[in-house]
Amino acid sequence: MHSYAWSDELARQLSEGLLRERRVFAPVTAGDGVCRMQPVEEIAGCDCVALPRLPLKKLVLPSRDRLWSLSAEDYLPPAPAPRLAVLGVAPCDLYALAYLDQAFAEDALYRQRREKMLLLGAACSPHPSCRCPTWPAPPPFDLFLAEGRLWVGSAQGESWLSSLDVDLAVGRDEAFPEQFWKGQGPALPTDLTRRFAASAASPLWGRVAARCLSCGACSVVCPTCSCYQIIDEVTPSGQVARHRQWDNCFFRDHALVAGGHNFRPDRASRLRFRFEHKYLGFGDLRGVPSCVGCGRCAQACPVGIDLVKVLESLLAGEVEV
Amino acid sequence: MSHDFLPIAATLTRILPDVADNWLFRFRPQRPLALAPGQFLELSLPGVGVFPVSAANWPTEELVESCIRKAGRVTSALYNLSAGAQIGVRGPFGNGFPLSALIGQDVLLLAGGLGMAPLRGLLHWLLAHREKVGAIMLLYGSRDPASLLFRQELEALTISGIIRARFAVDFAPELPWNSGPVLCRVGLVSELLDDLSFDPQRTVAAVCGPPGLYQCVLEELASLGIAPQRIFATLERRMQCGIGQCCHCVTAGTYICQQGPVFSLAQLRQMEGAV
Repeated sequence: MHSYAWSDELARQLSEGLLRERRVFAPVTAGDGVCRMQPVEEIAGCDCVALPRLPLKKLVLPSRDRLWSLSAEDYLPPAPAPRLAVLGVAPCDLYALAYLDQAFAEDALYRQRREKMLLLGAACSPHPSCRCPTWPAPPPFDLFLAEGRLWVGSAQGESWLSSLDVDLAVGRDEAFPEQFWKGQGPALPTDLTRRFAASAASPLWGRVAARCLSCGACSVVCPTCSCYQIIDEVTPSGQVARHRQWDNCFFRDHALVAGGHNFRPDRASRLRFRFEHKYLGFGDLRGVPSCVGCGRCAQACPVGIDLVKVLESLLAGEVEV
Repeated sequence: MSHDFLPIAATLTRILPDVADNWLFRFRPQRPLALAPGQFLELSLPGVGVFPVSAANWPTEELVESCIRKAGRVTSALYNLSAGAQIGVRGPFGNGFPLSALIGQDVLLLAGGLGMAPLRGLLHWLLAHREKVGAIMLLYGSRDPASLLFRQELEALTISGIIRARFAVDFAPELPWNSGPVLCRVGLVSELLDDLSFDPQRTVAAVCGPPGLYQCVLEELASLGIAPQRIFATLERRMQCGIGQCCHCVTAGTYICQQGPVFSLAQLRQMEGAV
């Protein structure tokens, strides 16, 4: 992978270039102590200062995402996505975005937003709540800033960089160093599917879920939780629009059907459902874990439920397999 | 830009209120929708919402019929519309019944309540391919005689000998009819299997009904000798997107909207929480 020495001149050119062409998002820790991925008018730096409380999904799958509006008899698609640059993205969030890229590969709205997004990753500093697993390969990015070098991870990154009026002659080629992405947690066991299936009647789920408030905070802050409901809206002026809006598998009516039957009627079954998505995956992505170990869910949970600890309990044989 | 969520406009052409709160809605999509039996649509009332529904007829290129229970906010809004109203549809979604597996076989249709609607679509397909399939048997259970869907049509098919049908109701204000070719009992639909003569080796079963029906009847069909890979059920879930995104329908890690909604009993046995 190609990299260039990070210099004040490169930083200045990059800042000016990005702000000229794109809406720029960067993690900003506000006075309330919360880090948010938010639009910035000037670029203070490209580092990963902290993990934003809401992950990048809010940019590619907004919490309330207009699908169409109705004008007379015509369905109008949403406005085209703006060109974005997102700075200071931690590796776990890059992995999460790579997961959503697969899950929403066929989705026109999502794809359009992703194609217009320039992604600048940055090396992170581990936090006590970090749970990053061991990854087999580096995450996808356009550019990545780490330890005084700017790494180029895509053709888009390369071509954008070459459009700057800056001397990049000092570039060099080497593998993207593992220390920036490798993670530290244990890999998932290969027989997790079997262990999970065998745990259906385990008291583990009920014991943990007994504390759960069904508030859904874990799913809201999760970078790969992306389920939604379809909501129609009629404005006072009569304008009709349809949205997809973040839903939450911890809500009681998530698996309720019209006849009144609820396929996940209790919190234990809903906890198990979320666990299944995070560690085993759904549909075509079965076998692809969607937990990237960012630790947001454990931090957000008001009653201290940590899915990684649930996994550890499952693997520690608290379940008869 | 191509877009997954834009509905196809459709015109309600007729509303047939034969059964209270289970009206049949007939609509003409602006462009042909070739729904295979067992597939589903997302029916859309702009400004109100969407819900998944199957077609109760076949073929569906020109006109689609859907039997819709007045159950929630969106379906109730549909009941306020009249013929000529504009609605929207997306789809078709899902796999549908494995039609090629029915060729040359006897077919046993087993319906509970509103489950008769998608099975009527399959029945229409079977009737259109009458020479290619063996006997067509229908066992249909409902709450009471007045709530039997498509009763006249099913009785006529039975009287003419084109299909063999038996009915069961939970309650009957008067004695159900039990003479002539059309039989109706008070009892469970599964009890209609008790003295049904059929050859399990050459029978394929298609079942549709509420979750309680699946719990009792699917394994019973297997115990009567129909191979589990020849017993099919269509699962009801709260599909909102139809394209494997919104996650409401996920069961045992499977998007019912894409990989289903029709599964064989052999598959269902491997799917925790499916029935």
